[in-house]
Amino acid sequence: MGSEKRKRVFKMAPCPDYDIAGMEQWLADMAAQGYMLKRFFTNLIAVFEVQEPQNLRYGIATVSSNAFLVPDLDTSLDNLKDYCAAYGWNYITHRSIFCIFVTEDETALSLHTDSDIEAMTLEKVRRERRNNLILPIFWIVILSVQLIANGFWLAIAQLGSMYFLPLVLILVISLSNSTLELRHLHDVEKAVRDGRSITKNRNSKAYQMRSVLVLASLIILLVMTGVQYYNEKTGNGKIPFEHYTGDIPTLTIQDLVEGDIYISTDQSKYSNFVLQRTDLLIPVYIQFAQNGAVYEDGICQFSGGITVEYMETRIPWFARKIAEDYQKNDKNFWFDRINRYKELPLPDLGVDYAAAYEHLLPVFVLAEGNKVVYVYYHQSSGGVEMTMDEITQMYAESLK
Amino acid sequence: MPKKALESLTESMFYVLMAFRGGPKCGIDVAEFVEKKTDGLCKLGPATLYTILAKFETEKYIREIQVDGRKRTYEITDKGLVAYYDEVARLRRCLAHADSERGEQ
Repeated sequence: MGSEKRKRVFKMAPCPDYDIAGMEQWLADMAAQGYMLKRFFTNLIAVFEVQEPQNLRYGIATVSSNAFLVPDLDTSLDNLKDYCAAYGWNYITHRSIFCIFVTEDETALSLHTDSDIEAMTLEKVRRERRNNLILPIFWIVILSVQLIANGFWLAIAQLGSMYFLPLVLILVISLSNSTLELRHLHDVEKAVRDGRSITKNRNSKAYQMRSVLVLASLIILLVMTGVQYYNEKTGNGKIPFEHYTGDIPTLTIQDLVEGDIYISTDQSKYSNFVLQRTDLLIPVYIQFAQNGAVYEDGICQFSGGITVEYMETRIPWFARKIAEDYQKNDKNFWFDRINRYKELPLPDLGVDYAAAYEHLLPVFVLAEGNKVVYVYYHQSSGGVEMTMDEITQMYAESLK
Repeated sequence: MPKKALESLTESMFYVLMAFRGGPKCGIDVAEFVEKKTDGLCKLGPATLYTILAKFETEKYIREIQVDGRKRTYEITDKGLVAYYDEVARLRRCLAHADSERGEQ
């Protein structure tokens, strides 16, 4: 009876949803081998039930996406089902907005009897998909322009090349695939209008590989974004400065101000930390913040804080580009009206790149060889005054 | 900008409007009318019929006047009648051209 459990088989669709003739033929071929379509899992995987082989005819027709989104308001799917049932076609499932029908009747009238009308439905699908692309492209262009204007190399450095480069690759793959599909959809639409078949030229392996690539890319992108967001929110990866046991390859407050005791002030969990990572393009990346006071003989020499980003890049050119981007990024900071970016004079430090400026706090960025350091600091009190000239000279020497 | 109306009617569309010109009908009645009128030369597949009705409703060539369970009945609008008569006139012109060509030979 119907209660017996039949084996289910998952197969990847060999053609896109809009290739109606290709899909109909594939489903009929599968039925002839004993695989009856039950449903689609995502837009890519078809779920079949193993039964006795049968000669079945499949037909595909589109409805508006609202028919699936708000079925109570949009009854177009019910209308379509009723018309098809009147001609002996039974609804099975849908793949995106393409509804799949089946009949055992070899003489049943085809779902589509007017190629112009069929082409018209494909044209509508193409227009909708093209419109759906406009907004993502708009934002990608805006963000790219913003990125290039305010620090493309710095974005790679801060996000990490292992995140940034796949991100760019994924965006390129997704967009090019969507563009390619739109073009293919246009060809299918034209072929339907002209009464031609393009199924013969279909390269199902290429389609499947492209689909898997796009799907995998989107999953990776989602996971990476989730991880990045989680790290950002939880401060994961940041170690309290006092607990860090590794070497810090640049200067800390203790190196800048002489004293016998350093006491950190833990105003928040972000005020004293070390974040270290390695990267393909930047083998050494360390960011740390220190907020505290240095005492000598019980007298406070310095009270304040520094935040440092230090990198050693694979090639010196990259270090200089990152340094330039740090300055450019701060200069073009959107909060500029309040920020009041103001460049500060510097002595000759003998390094490849040096810049100092006010950006809410005093900031400087230095690059020498493959090393770059970006520092902002503040001093609230203390006997030793840290001047920009002195502190930059100390950091410049440490880079050489 | 107003939505562009259908530039031309396909044969199926023309016969669907012809069916509605005779009075309100449901989709299946329309399909039967067309098949009968054309002696089976023009048949409307269910997807074709569904698409045409949906398109005509969007273009306001027809409007739904009754829903009985899942059976929907439509009637032609003035806009639909204009589209139908325009197409009839266009086809007559085509025929006249063909006739005049025959007369010259």
